Parts: sequence; C-alpha cells; structure tokens
Amino acid sequence: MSKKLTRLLAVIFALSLVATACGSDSVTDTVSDTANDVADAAGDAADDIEEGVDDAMDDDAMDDDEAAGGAVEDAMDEEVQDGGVVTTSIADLEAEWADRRAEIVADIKAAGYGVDGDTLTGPGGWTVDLSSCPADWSDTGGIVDGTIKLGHTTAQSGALASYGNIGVGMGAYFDYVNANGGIGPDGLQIDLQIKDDAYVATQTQELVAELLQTEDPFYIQTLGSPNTFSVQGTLNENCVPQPMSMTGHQAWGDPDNNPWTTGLQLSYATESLLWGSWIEANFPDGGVNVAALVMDNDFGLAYEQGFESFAEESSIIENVEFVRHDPAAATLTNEMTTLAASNPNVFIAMTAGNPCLLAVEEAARTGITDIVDAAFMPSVCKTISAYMSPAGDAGDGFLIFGGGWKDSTDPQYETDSYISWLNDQIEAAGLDTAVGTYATGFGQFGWPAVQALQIAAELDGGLSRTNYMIALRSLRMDHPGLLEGIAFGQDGSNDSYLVEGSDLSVYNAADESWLIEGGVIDLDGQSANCAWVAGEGC
Amino acid sequence: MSTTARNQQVAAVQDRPPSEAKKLTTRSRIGLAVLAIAVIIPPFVTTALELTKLSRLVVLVLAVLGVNLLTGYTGLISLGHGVFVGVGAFAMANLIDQGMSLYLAGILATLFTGAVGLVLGLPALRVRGLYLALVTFGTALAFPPFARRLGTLTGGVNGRTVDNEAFVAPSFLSLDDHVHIWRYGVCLAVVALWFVITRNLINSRMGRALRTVRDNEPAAATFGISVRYAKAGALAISAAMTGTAGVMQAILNPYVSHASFDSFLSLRLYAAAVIGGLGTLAGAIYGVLALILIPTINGAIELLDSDAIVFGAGLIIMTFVAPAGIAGLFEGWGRGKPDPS
Amino acid sequence: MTQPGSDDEIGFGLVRTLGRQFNGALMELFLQRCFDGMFTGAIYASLALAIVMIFRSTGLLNFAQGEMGLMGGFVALTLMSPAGSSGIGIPIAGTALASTWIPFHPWPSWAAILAAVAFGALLGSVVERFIMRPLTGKSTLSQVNVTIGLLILINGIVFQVWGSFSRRVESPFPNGKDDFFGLFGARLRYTTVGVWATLIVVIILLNLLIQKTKTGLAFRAITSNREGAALVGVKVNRTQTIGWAIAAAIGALAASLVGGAITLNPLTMLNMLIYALAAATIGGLDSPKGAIAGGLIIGLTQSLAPPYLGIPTELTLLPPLAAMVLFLIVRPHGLFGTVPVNRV
Repeated sequence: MSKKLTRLLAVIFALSLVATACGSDSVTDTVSDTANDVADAAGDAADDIEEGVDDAMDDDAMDDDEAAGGAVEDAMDEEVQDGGVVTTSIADLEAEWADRRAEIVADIKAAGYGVDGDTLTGPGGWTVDLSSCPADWSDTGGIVDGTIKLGHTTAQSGALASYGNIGVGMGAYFDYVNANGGIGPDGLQIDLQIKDDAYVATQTQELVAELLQTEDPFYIQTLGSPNTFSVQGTLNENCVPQPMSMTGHQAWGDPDNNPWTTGLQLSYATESLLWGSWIEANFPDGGVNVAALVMDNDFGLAYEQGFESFAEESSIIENVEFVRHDPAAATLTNEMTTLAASNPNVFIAMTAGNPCLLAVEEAARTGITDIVDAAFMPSVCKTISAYMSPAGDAGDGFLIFGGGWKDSTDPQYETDSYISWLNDQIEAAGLDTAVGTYATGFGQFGWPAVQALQIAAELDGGLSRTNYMIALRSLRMDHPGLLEGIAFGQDGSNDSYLVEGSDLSVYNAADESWLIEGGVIDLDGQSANCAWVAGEGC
Repeated sequence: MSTTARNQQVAAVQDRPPSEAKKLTTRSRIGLAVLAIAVIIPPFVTTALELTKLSRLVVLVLAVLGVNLLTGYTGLISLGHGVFVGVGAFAMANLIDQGMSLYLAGILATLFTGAVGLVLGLPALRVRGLYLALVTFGTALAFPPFARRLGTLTGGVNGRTVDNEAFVAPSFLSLDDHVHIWRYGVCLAVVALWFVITRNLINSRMGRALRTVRDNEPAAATFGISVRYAKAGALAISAAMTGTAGVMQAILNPYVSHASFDSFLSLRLYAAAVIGGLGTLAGAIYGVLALILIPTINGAIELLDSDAIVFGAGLIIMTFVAPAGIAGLFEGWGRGKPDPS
Repeated sequence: MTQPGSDDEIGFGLVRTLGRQFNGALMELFLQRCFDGMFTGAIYASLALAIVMIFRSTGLLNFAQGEMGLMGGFVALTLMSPAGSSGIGIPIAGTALASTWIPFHPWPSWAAILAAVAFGALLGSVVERFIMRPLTGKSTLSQVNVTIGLLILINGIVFQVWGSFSRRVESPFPNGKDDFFGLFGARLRYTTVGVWATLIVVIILLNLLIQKTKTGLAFRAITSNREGAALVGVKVNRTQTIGWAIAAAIGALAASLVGGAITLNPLTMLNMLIYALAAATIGGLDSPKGAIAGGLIIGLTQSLAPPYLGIPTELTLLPPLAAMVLFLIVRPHGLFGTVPVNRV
C-alpha cells in the first residue's frame, strides 16, 4: 500500500474519530421526542405541583415558630424543629405501626383484593395475569421451614463497594425483627442472602439466575439502575417480586408492564419536577436561564430527561443549557466554563460520585456561584463526607432536595426517638454509626420491607408472593425515617411511587451539614408511571 | 534461571520446525485428551447456572485467543481488544432485532467486527509497538463514551437486553429442559472451530510470516514478506475471532451496555493472554483459568478488598518466573532441560 | 448567592468579576477557554514530564507512572493532614500513625510535598532495582507487561490503604474561588500560574542535570547505545536507578499538584493517564520540554475543540486522542523528540 494512501487513511481515521463525535444529532432528536411525550404527562402534574409548593411556602411564611424559616439566614440561626423530630417512645411507635398495619389489612380484605383464578387484583386498578407465570412457580416460593428466604444483589466490591453497606444495615434490622417475634402469627424468620455483583449488570443477571435456580427466594431486591434493568424482565417473567429496588430511576414505577417491580426512594424524574416547581415558585417573573451539568450515564440522563420535559412546558424557564460530561473526566473546568457563559440564574448539578465534588469546586472557581441565585446538588450527592466537606467553603449555600430522609449522622436527630433507637441498634450490631449507609439499610429500606411482610402475613392465605405484592402496592404508613409531611405510600396503578416528596436543605460549610430550609414539598401521587423503552426513555 | 535458558524456554514454546508443527506431539495429545474430558463432564454434573458460567468462560477463552494471535504471534500489542468484544455483541443484538437467524447473525456480526478491526487498525499499524499499545489503550477508553451515544443500537447509557429466545436446541434433540446444555455445546463448538482455524493459520505460511514480522520486522521485508498484508490479515482475523466472543456473550447473558466493554475488559484480556502464555494456543485457556482463580483465591483468603493487588503482583511475578506464561512453564517441565532447537 | 447583576470586587482589582459580561463577550469566553486549557494542560504536563523522564533514561513507556505518583500524593496527604476525622469525614489512613511517630505532624503543605517527592524517589529506586533491572534487555513486551502489572498492583494498594474517597490536598498555591488574576474579563487561576512555574523550574533543573552533569551524560549515553556505554565504563545500573528515582519523584510532585488543583482519589491519575500519554507523545517521548508543550496542546485541544468544532462535551476524550493518533502517524517522534533510527 502506498505511503500516500496510508497517510490519507490515517487522516481519515483521525478525522472519523472526531466526526463520529459530531454525528450525534439523532440521539438528541430521540431524547426530545420522548421528552415531549413525558411533557404531556408532566404538564398536568405541573399545575398541581405549583400549588403544592405555594402551599408549603405560605405555611412557612405564616408560622415562624414552627417552621425552620424561609430565608437562608434564618435556617442557619434557628434550631431546626420542623425536621420532624419524633419524641414518641419506641414502644408507642411500634403500637402505632401495628394499628396502622391492621387498618391496611382490613382495607385489603374489605376490598377483596387477591387471587381469583388466574388473576391477581390489587388496589388502584392493578391487575396481574398469573397464567403467564412458569409452570413450577409457587406463590409461597421462598418460605421454607419457618424461614423466609430473601435475596439481595448489591455492590460489595469495586468502586461502589460502600453501597454494600446498605444490605448489611438491612440485615441488622432483620436480625432484630427475628429476635423479637419474627414475621406474622407464625413468627417466620427472615434469612437474607446478599450477593456481590460489583455493580456489573451481567453479574447481576448471573446471580439472579443462580438464586432463582437454587434458592427460589421469596423476593429479590436489586441495587443499581443498570443492574435492576438487566434482571427486571427475568424476574417479572418468573413472577418473582423485585421490590423496593435501590435506585432512584423512574422506570420502576411501571405497574402495568412490570407488575412485580417497585422502587422506593425519590425518583430522578420526580426530583426534576421538584427543581422545576421550585424555580417556578421562586421566579414568578419568568425569564429564567438554567445551567445543568449532566453526567453522561444513567443517573444524569434520567435527570436530564425529567427536567427537560418540565422545562419545555414551563413559561417561567426560558432556556436550559445542558452540558454533559464524561464520567471518567479528570476535571470539569471546561464544562463549567461553558455553563457559566450561558448566563444562568440557576445551576443544577445532575451528576453522581466524585464529579459531585468537582462540580461544587468548579462552580465556585468559574464564578457560577457568584452569578446564579440558586445552585442545586442532586440527592445522590448528599453525602457530606464524600462530596461536600472536601470542597470547603465552595459548597456553602448549595441547595438540595435531599430525598426526605432524616440523616442518622446529623446531631439534630439525637433526640429523635426513632433515630436514636436506630443508632443504638446499629451499634449493638457492631456497626459504625458514622457510616450513614448502615442506617439507610436498617431504616429506609429495612423498615418498610418488614411492614409489608407483616401485612401480607395477616392477609387471607398468609404470607405469599401475591399477598406481599398486594401489601406493597397498598402500603401507606408514616415512615419513621422520613421527615414529617412526606407521605410514604402507593396505590396500585394509580400511584406507583412510595416516596414523592423531599425536604429542601441548604448546605452550611462552616458546620459541614445540610440544614432544612422551609418545609417539605410532597408531590404524592403526582408522578406519572413510566413505561421504559431501552435507549429512548419513558 | 539464566537468561539464555529462559530465552530458550520461550523459543521452545513458540517455535517449532514446520514439519513437526503439523503433527501433534504426545504431550499435545495427552493435553487434548485431558481437555476433552474436562469439557465433556460438566453437563452431566453441574447445575444449569454453573454450566452457563462455564460457557461464559469458554467464550472468554476465545476472546483471549484473539489477543494472543495479534500480540503473541504477530507481535502487535493490543490493549484494546475489549472493543471488538463490544462491537461483536452490539452487532449481534441489532442483527437479531432485524429478525435474522442466530447463525446468520453471528456470522455477519463476526465479519463486521473483522472489518471494523481492519479499518481501525490499519492506520495504527504504521506506529511502532509501544505506540500501538498507546493507541489501542486510547481506543479502549474511547469506546464506552462512543457507545453511549448510539441510543437504540447500544441501549445508550442504560444498556439493552438481547433477544436470545431463539438460542434453543433444535426439537429433534429434545433438550428443551436443558437449554443450557445446548448453549454450552454451541459455545464449545464455536470456540473449538476457531481454535482449529487459528492452529492451521499458525502452521501455514502466513503463520510463519507473522512470527517473522514479530521477531524481526525489517528483516521480514527483505525476505519478501509483505509486512502490511501480514499485519492486516492478523488484525482482521484477530478482531473477527474476538467479535465472535462478543456474539456468544450477547446471547448467553442477554444484556449489553457500554459499561460491559470498558478499558478494564481490555486490560483483563491482555493480562490473561500474557499470564497464560503468548504465542501458544493453550495459553488462552490457562490465562482464563488464572483470571478466575485469582479472585476466587483472593475471596477465600479474604485478606484484601480488591483483586487488583493479587492480579498486579501476579502479572509481575509471571514476567520473571515464567516469561512464556503458564504454557511456557508446562513446556519447560515436560522437557526437563531446555531443548536447544 | 448574590443578587442578580451585582458586581463583586475580586481578584487583583484589575477587572471586575465576569458576572453577565460573558454573555456576548466572545473574546472573553475564548480567552477563558484558553486559560482553562492552560489549567488542565498544566496538570497533564506534570504527569507527562514524569513519563518522559522514564522514557528518556530507559527507553521504556511506563504505564504505572501515574500510580507511582499517586502513592506519593497520598503520602503527602497523610503527612499534611491532622489525625482523626476531617470534619464529618472518614480519617485519612496513616494520619494517626503519623501523628504518633512523625515529629511536628501535621506538616505544612510544601514540606509534605517535598517529603512526598523524596518518597517518590525512594519508590522509583526500589522499583527499578528489584523489578525493572532484572528485566533489562528483555523484550518490549515483557517490560510493558510489568508496567501494566505495576499499574494494577499499586492502584490496588492505594485503594486498599486509603480507600476510595476523594481528598482535598492543600495546595502550595492558593486555590480558593477568589484566587485568580482577572485578565481582560477572564480568570487565570493562581494554581495554573503556580504549576506552570513549578514545571518550568523542574525543566530547567532537569536540563542542567542532563546537559551539565556526569549523570546526565550517562543518560544520553545509555539511551543512544546501551552496550557501548557499558563498555566505556558508564555505570548503567546506577544511572538507571537515578533515572527512575527522578521520574518517580516528578510523578509524586505531579500527584501532589494535581491533588491541590482538583482533588485526589485512587482513580485521579488513572483518568489522567491517557491525556498525559497523549501529551508526552505529541511533545516527543524523550523531550522534557516536549512534555510541557504537549500538555499545553492537549489541554487547549480539550478546551477549544468541543465548543468551536461542535464536538459533544461528553466525548471530551476524542479530540486529544485524535491529536495523538495524527501525530503518531504523521510525526511519530513528536514535536521535540529525537528522530529514531531503525536498525535491522
């Protein structure tokens, strides 16, 4: 081959590398299309949202004593009391929960939900056709010899190994429950089996296949968006519940197509709605420019899609500049300069992991924090020790919709009876209370898991997979780990998201803590179900 | 071991007189027999899941063989072979979407990956060994971001499932309840086929040309070998081979995403090829065994959180103790004294 | 947050804060991007320099250079951080030990960095003596394999010891949000100037070393003709050890500077590696000033190509990679490298 030809090919090769980068228009189109579809659904919600936010704001303005204050300065001075610090004793709380569970059981029985022939009916018009379940499927699969076998795949190795602690905390709560009467009238004992997938989706597939084959667990709880995606089809085909998936992706609210799957925490789409509605409430005159830093992965794009659809319907938000960054980028300086140049009023970081920290630092250094009136961190970047504290003063004043949970490591909850009891139990189990993920597992995820199991065990026929799903889809209780004012509940096909509200907190760099500003904002029942199509969206 | 002896050990493994090469030595026959037994037994004793895991390992061997062909036999360092696995997997997923039969889709995806390898690699062939490592490394890093942008083809940032429903045994075999055995068998057959192809290639004139290019490139030109064509051929075949591994992976574990084909995959393939023994066929198998044994041992000892330390140390130690990889160790033991051939 | 439209008085007092001035001020934006390129370029150049030093003294491309530096950076961090938790965070490994055994712990940042540089030199010497030296004369392949093994090993060790959290390294150059020169509406960070200044000083020292000392002469002798150099009495082994020590020391300096400029976590140097390699290649693998020039070029390419050539920002790796490939094909010895001679 002649030298010239090779050189020509070489130049073409190099240019093609560059050119492929340019040829991404089709993707943007696709995203816009789906954004439009979601926008219609979101549009209806938007009006309600504004009302909800206005209400919350009004309440705070009127009630100085109770509220944590609407202004940032107030929030820093006052002791936050509206964080929902609960002082009822644990024994009384347990009694309250038991009463509430009995109510739910009564409601379910009265409504006659259950299995009728081949159809499972539940609340809110939710139905499942059981005839497509495998021939060897058992409604009581996983309940063996007085033990409930539960499966949990999570990352216990690799870069995201700290997520594995959630499962450990959850296990600690299950141990407590086992020692204190177990589940249901027969005192069933929970046997939690945790498997390590190192956050690799194909590994999750293998582990789930193994669990289904050898253990046939009662349900399998997965962590991570790609991981949950990769096994969602399999679990639903096998009629094995995939409850309370540990990821904020909105795709788990799909009760019609994936009836056995649910999420738990505030979804990224709902969080985007919260950002949007906050902006509309705080900039009544309109003309708002938003600058958004988006991580190029499942987290970031879920946020981007949710926010873009809101913004398109909004008359207040004039322009949104989305700048995506490579998750493996060493610095974010270039991206932040581009965002600064768009003249924003609001900055939103839609990223996760270490780039959260880089975003905070660079927002300060490029002058974005000087230009904007408000800057948001996403709920996934809440961990102070990892993402906020190393940035020092740069993080001061950042806002966050934190997800609505009480932070067990926050000293303001030392007097909260549930949190202090939780920390005691965690310590008794030999775990470090300074590591927040244990509490996440123990409280956020462990508590509702047990409540749903208890309810299901009291239904006609006792504990079974179908009863469990009915219980889960009917669940509506006061989660002791959630801030007061945030509902914890869903309603079959009408409402497929357990948590749709959050606190609004502001970061105080001097104290290295998030302080709740204003009340909580709850969009309960307003998040649209999401029928997810791979590569496209809801 | 002295330098001379070590070099001879390496040479002994990698070169044999052409006339001898076509015959199977007794050692090889024994080795093959052991291998045959090792692969025939599992379907009878293991569970479906374990067999699927084994199938994945078999496919991994194929990917490592691809690295071996390019780096071991042709001397072109490739730190980016994970890209070919990805290309094969994505191509397969999409061809299946088009309603194509699995076999046709698999062949087309393989050919496509070979072509991609050729196109990507040709300009890179102009650069010297060390620089080639750089370029392939860069390509491996660039592949996931690139894959994320291709929306429906690759599932974008979330990945996508693959429709492998058609991957079942033909009805006359009545293996409906044992689809995993059929899949295992197919994997074995495909990999074995590539092994045969590679072996024939190595023992052919082209194979000798490749080894000459590896050992002394300027001299090769004077022998009348078209270095360009030799390298290009090796590149295409190596890429195709690894692409087939991607094809198999896509239908075994029906989920593909950009995250599956990152730079760590390429580094692992490379490490496996080196540890197993570059320039040998058996090396691919040993390398994969090492790849799985190390995390298992590490997990058993529970001393370290990550496998990285064991892996890295292993790679370094291998370079000293067994520069020709595990395959080289066996060759050495078999012969006792190094054979000055 | 300030109210919209206000101007803060910041910087050297030369020019007011950007605020809304960016909008429509294309020249200012371009200038800012150039400064950004200089910032990231400085970071890449520092690691590229370490890579070049190894290549220059041994002819080897060391993939593990960044990781060896990383270890030095964490050593600096341990020396300069007080024992116990940093705020709400998790304590940095080794600080408790350090506060007991090391006098005057925690050290000021410049002292910690110097100590890290010394540590780097020690690490480099040890690696050379016990791992690389036995491999001299071996194939390129073996050496590449070992450096990749080192990369995996050292990265694993750092992960194991210090965990995965990002840490702020106190920078010798003020790195707060207000620490910049305001020039013509754009911000030139003190860090950028400081790191470049440091690199230039290092280059000058290296140049002196290579041109004026016996060791430098030995370097040049070894890389041009190893056997010949040994025959005429050059202490090849000792020279190689020195080469590795210097390169690793520079690597540790690089990691410390990078940690000060952004943050340090076990993946930082790994993410940077390809950019530093590209910079070293473009500049010329055996030319220190090439490393600097290459770093600048890569940094600028990354800052200027996406906005002005329409390349999506998430594909930020592609322009530097394309630049590297172009250079390798068109001018493999880089801008300032020596042209190689191929002998049969």
